[in-house]
Amino acid sequence: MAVRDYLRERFFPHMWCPGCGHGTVLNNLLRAIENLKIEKNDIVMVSGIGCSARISGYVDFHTLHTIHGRALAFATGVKMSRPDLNLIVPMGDGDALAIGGNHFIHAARRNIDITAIIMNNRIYGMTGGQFSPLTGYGKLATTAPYSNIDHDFDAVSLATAAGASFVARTTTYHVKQMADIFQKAILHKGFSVVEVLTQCPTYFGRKNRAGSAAEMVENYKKSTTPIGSKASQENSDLIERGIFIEKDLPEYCGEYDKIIQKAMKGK
Amino acid sequence: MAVDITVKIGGEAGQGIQTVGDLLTLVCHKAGLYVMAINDFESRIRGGKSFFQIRISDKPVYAPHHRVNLLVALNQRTYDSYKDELVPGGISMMDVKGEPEENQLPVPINDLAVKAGKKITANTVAAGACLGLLGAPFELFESILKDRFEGKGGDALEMNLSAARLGYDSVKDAKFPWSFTWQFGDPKGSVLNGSKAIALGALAGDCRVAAFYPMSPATGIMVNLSSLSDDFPLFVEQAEDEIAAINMVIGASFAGVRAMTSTSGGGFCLMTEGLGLAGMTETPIVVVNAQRPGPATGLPTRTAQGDLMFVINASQDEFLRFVFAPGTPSEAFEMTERAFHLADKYQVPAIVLTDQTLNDSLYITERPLSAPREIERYVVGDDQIDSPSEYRRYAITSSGISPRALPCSGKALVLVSGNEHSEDGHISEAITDRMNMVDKRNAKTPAMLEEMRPPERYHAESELLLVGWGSSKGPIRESVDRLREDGISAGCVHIADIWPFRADLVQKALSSCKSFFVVEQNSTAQLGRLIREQTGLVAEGSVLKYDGRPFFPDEIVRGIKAYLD
Repeated sequence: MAVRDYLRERFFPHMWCPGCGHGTVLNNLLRAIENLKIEKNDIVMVSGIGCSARISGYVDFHTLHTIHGRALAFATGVKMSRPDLNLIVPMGDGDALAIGGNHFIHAARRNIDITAIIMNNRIYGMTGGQFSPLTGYGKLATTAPYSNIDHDFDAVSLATAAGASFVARTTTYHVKQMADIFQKAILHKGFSVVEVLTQCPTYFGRKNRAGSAAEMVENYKKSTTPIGSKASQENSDLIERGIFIEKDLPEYCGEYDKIIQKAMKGK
Repeated sequence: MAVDITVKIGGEAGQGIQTVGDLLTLVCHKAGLYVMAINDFESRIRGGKSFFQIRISDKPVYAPHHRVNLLVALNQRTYDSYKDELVPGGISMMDVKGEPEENQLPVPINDLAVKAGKKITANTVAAGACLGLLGAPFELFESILKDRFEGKGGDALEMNLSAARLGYDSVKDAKFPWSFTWQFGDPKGSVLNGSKAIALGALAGDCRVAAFYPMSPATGIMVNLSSLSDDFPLFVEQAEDEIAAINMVIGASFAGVRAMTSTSGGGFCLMTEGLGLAGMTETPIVVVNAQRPGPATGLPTRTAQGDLMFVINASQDEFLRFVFAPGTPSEAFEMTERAFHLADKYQVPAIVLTDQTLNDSLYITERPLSAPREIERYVVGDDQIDSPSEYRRYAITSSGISPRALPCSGKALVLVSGNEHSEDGHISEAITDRMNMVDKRNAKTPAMLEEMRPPERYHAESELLLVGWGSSKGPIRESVDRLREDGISAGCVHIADIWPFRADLVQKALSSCKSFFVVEQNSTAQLGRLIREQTGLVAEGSVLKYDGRPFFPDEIVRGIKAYLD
């Protein structure tokens, strides 16, 4: 099946701004799914609210476009009912870690087999450029005109501490790595978190003088480095990318199945 | 002689009041008697002031009585607090230090327990003494203890039998004016509280996924469901909060299984956004709201009927829903099952509105609980869709009900959105889509109204009618009997199928009376306001109780008489 078969082109042009990184995420997600040869009928995509969540409108999968921050809770319900399906949950940084933060850490703790993608553009785009929990100290936003005093979460550390069994980070510059990580995350049996650094030239970029979209993408090349690289050891300001955690832990639905067997004693 | 005795067992939380109450209930049930028992406790695990109050009768009883014949005081504080509730001649059985009061019957409960083997058997001693005073044959108690302790290992059974005998014999010379001969035939029905009835009703309705966050007085429903999962494949998930719980349930239902959540008012507040999503996406779910007094934390372990207007209107904008308010465990069972059926049929959320009294009180349920032979699922597969590849989840139909395909079960692709959408489920802000979808969702109204059953009427031809809903059904009925004994032409109307509101049927039920009064456990007569809004009929007055305790028939009688005088 070709990538285009997974797209709902009739809804194009999409709603993202010129230069937005979300299209790159969509592109690589579909390439990953194409490489894995997953049937449309075996995928359910659940999304919340925000620019990122609109991904679900452009893919030709069974989709559940829900409310802000709750996508993982729905996905959990779907997975509990149909453990055989692949659940993919694209979220924005605010969707995943502000309003949805509680659901995020608990989904990670359960290690339920869902692929969670955090499209981190460090801003609330759709509502007009307010700061998010990933904006970072000293940055500007429409609601932090004199600079932000909130410190940001490290999404990778948070997911790791909360118990996710697959944790990775990549950027919209590193598209081959992104597709590769998506593939591994989807195949991984357990809660997989992929943080993708993705540019919002319209709000974060403009407010923080980060340059054009191309410059922002270019900057992902300069400001990141593979996990454990020499550059990383020499310069702690560099952001590491790659797969941080990949371990085999009991998966939630599998564990629950055992409980059902135990309770029913083979009835 | 007619039997109608109230026994109140009081003490600190953790003293085993529940055990004494359970034993009494089981013995009475086995003897063929009727019982109704309320549980009163504070929001704490140890200490404080709690009681279990059981009414024992040879006729069906569905309400507690406000006066006590026998008080079992496990501490002095219980006696001090409740001695004024004793009827003339009533006694308080208790450990007494020093000279007993006239209404005290000293029984060295703790010493006898130690004598039986362990202090922990004090509850069995107390139950034995109670049953001795009531004139129960000891063999009956013995058989209940055998059922309970046999196979528990060790000397549990032997010790409890000895404790029971010591307690029973300790009162053999005491005079209890209401002692009676225990001959009532076979056990009547089964002993059930609302929580268990709802759990069983959920199973009867083919519930396969339940998600919840602990909150009194709703938690018992999920505890019961979990304990039933040894016979039924059931996923019971304790979620991180109520927001997650309702959203998991919507996800599960979207995927194709029947699912429910249960909570109390505060949790329901957190669920309201999700409720709207179920409304917008037309995903069937069942939500139980077991009411307690609020707002905020309110009185966590007590009872109220203050959420009627809230659940009818909960969540922003307008969408259809069912609301049911059962009056007994038997109705709670049937309505929960029906809530699953109707939610599925109309693709809307259904709310079962109960309260602490119904959930935690024990009732005798005589009507057998029966599950439907077959579960009718209102879903379609590819073979029932003309062109599965062009499937539209929200296709316009005259009934407003669009054929519901399940995701990943065929060629039909299922798109669902909480944003306003077009027929295919894709986000749309087009004026025609908005208008069409609101009209489509609302088009279900006439058929949903047809599903609603008429209010239950009792002495409906009377001049004066008492109107209520939910768990106050039993107390209202009994107060009607008492008013009639006093020569007052009184009847009652109980509205259990609340929403969508059948104004025509309520109007008809109230058309022939001279005046009607609403009887509710809130401070603003919410049902009275609803009836006025929907029918234009205005209640003559109201009997309202909002102290967090269940209604006693006597309070209703007094409330109505105050209007008549």
